[in-house]
Amino acid sequence: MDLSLELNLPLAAAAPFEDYIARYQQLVYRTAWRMLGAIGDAEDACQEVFLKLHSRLGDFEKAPNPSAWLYRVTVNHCLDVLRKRRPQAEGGNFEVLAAGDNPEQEAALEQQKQRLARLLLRLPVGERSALVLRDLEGLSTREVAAILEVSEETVRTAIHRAKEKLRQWMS
Amino acid sequence: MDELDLLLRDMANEAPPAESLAKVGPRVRGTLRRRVVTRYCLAAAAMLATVLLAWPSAEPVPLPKVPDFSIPAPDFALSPRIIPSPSQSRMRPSRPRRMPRLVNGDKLELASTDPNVVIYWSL
Repeated sequence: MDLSLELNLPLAAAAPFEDYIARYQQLVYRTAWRMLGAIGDAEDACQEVFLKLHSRLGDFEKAPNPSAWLYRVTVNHCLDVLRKRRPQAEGGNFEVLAAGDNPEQEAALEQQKQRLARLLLRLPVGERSALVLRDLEGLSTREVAAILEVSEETVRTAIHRAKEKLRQWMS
Repeated sequence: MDELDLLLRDMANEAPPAESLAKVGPRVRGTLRRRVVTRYCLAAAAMLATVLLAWPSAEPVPLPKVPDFSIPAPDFALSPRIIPSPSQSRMRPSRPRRMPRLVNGDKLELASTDPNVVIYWSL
């Protein structure tokens, strides 16, 4: 699909944007999915983040670390969505796809993961963001601190508290 | 590393649902396309409105022929101005105005607004 013709964008702008969608959609989707819990919400968040990227393509390209820029935009968007959403007493309804192989083992693991994912949604948004970015997205504490615009110590504390709560809830 | 860390590591390696992920690109493109179409439609409508407002009307304005092109002046405009007499005037005083009068050779009675007061002026 020739995006430049469809959108009447300059070739120089359309080609990288198409590349960016292909390259970063998993990063954005995964973060939004873990932060928001629902697949539909993750799709909506992805769309909003990429539309924001399209309107601020210059900022994105000038950013020293484009992934960090995208993480920041995604996390901020998710925080906005979570602020508007009513607090979920039971941790919401996290949607995961059922695994196909090794039915019994996979089912047990899926059940555990589904439970953990539900419990993730019960965490305060600050602790959840820190945990998702560092432990699920694999970013360093420094990167997470830069994305969330807090100190590294705050990130460590948030993750420690989040894990303590999760252990307590899971036991 | 406890059970929680293992589960988190497992979740980290989990691929996002492919079917849902595949919807992202087309949704973004569709929204951008709609925005571009809307922007073009609005620009076209604005341009059309500007042209329609600025374009001179093609219909001829029916003007009267030269002999008929005169405005009849009303009669009163040409007639001499009629100045109403004081009796007709709305400025007419409600009572006769007192006038100064000569009492004798060297005394003048001045006009007074109060009928009970008489003022004399000695010449």
